[in-house]
Amino acid sequence: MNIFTITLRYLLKRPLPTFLNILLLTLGVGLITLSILVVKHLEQRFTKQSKGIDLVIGAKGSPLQLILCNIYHIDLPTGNIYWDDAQKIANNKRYVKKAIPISVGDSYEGTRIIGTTPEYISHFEGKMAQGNIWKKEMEVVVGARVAEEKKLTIGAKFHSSHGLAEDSTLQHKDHDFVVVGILAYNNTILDNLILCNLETIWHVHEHSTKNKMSDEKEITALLIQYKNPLAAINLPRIVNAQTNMQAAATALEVARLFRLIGSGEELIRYAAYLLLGVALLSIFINLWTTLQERSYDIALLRSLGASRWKVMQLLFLESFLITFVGLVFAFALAHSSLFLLNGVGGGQIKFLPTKYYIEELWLALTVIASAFLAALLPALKAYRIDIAKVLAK
Amino acid sequence: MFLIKDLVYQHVGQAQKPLNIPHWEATQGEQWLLLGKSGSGKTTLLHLLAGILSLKQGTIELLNQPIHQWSAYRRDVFRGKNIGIIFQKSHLIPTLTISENIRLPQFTVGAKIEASILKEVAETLQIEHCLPKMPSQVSQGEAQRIAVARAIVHQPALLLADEPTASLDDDNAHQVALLLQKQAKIRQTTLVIATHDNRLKSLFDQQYSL
Repeated sequence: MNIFTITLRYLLKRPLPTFLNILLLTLGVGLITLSILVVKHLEQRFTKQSKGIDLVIGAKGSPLQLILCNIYHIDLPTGNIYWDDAQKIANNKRYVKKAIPISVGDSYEGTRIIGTTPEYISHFEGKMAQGNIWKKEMEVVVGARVAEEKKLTIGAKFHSSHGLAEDSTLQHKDHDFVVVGILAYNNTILDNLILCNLETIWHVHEHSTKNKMSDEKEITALLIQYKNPLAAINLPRIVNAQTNMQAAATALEVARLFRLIGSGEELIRYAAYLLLGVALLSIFINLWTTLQERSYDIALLRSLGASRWKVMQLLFLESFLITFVGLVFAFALAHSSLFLLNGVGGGQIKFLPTKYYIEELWLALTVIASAFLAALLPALKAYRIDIAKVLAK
Repeated sequence: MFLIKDLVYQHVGQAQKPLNIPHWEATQGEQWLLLGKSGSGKTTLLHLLAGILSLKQGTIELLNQPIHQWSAYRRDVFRGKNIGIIFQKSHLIPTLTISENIRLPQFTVGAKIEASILKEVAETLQIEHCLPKMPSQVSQGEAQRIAVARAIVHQPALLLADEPTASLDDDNAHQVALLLQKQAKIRQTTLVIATHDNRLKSLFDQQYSL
């Protein structure tokens, strides 16, 4: 006969209020946790993936779109720029340390095929798990996750689709891509891409569009790493003012993006805090109202030698047990929701459901402290019960 | 076993005549009837003896200990270990089984309750068949016998009973009184039964009237 048995029996005696309290806590804490996880994850991912890329030069349009498309590969291209124009910038030895061209526009079952140079892989520190880098046109290197999901092995052949949508019906049927290399997992954007050389993209599109009009080659964007701090001031200005291209600074756009996400996330978080508040209020009201019918039980326990403190422990434990179960469910819910989130958004943003953050610990501790507060008044009331009076009734 | 001297007790904010006990002494194993009309202070005296109420004037010694000088916490623990109390109503906790109700002193004062004693007590009180049941499933007579079991299972030195027979019919009242006498005798427990029930008077030699 111990305190846990007694407390559990009280909770199970009133299954509906107990269930409601746990549900409210689970939803409140779960929602807060999920928003923490998503924001943290996006922040880390966005920071990591744009590492070393200071500037993106592409066609005019939304600068944020330019960044999203060419660094994170989650938005559509703003258009194309001429290879020759891009080369002029790339060859600016004064400001440019690294310039990586990329060409976006084709896909295979929703996964983007990016035309670029081997420098792109080395920039993101990609290592080959199997096979080699491409040596000629139509040879591709696939990211680890892509290879796993699409079951691509060395030597596998596939057709690309024109456009980036999964259900695109415009297929380049007359061109076979061949997998020559598979990258090792390195938790960067490389995991989710299929890479080939620029010529491959040009080659595929020359034929498919039958457009012989321009000999001028095009790419989607040029990823730039500055040579010095001065470049940050001058290079965007040169591009924006002197060419018909657009330069978007990664840091500025990412910051802008997080302000956009942040305001939505804040709203969700306030709603979740409200839920959490209601949950704790509900625990308090339940303890408070049941105390009336339980005053006989408490007086009896006291007459059997239970101290006032021991009686208070019963109420605290009841609050803690509900909170504990709610917290476990909430964290399980939030982390497993990441699996579901991985399924949406075309799979370009991948979450790691098993990663935990220190913020979750703080959240748990805060909730436990609040559970203590919720039980405090009922516990004090139990402390003050005049057992002689109750027993004499 | 216990000694009450010069006790004066007045409930806070009540105009009643204060309770006044100049001297009452009992030795271990004695069986007393505490008599008095309702409102005469029987329950109050039992509560004082059990250390549930704090005494401001006079002395109460229990097992040679001056419990009137002690803190409420110390009295709580002492009560849990050395005193068994039976109330007019059986006061079983409705969410616990009968067996768990009887074993409550394990939780309240960490008392050791041996399975053999629990079995023996349940047998003599004829409540074995009730042990796995819930309080709502037993009769009133059984409930009162269960309350007796709970009060004696941790083998207290003093057993206090407050109107234990008031809500019982003649048969059950007689039975409960005999049970209390018998149980107290087996373990040399001092017994005090507070009552205004005339049916019990003939059963006890030692009586204290308020």
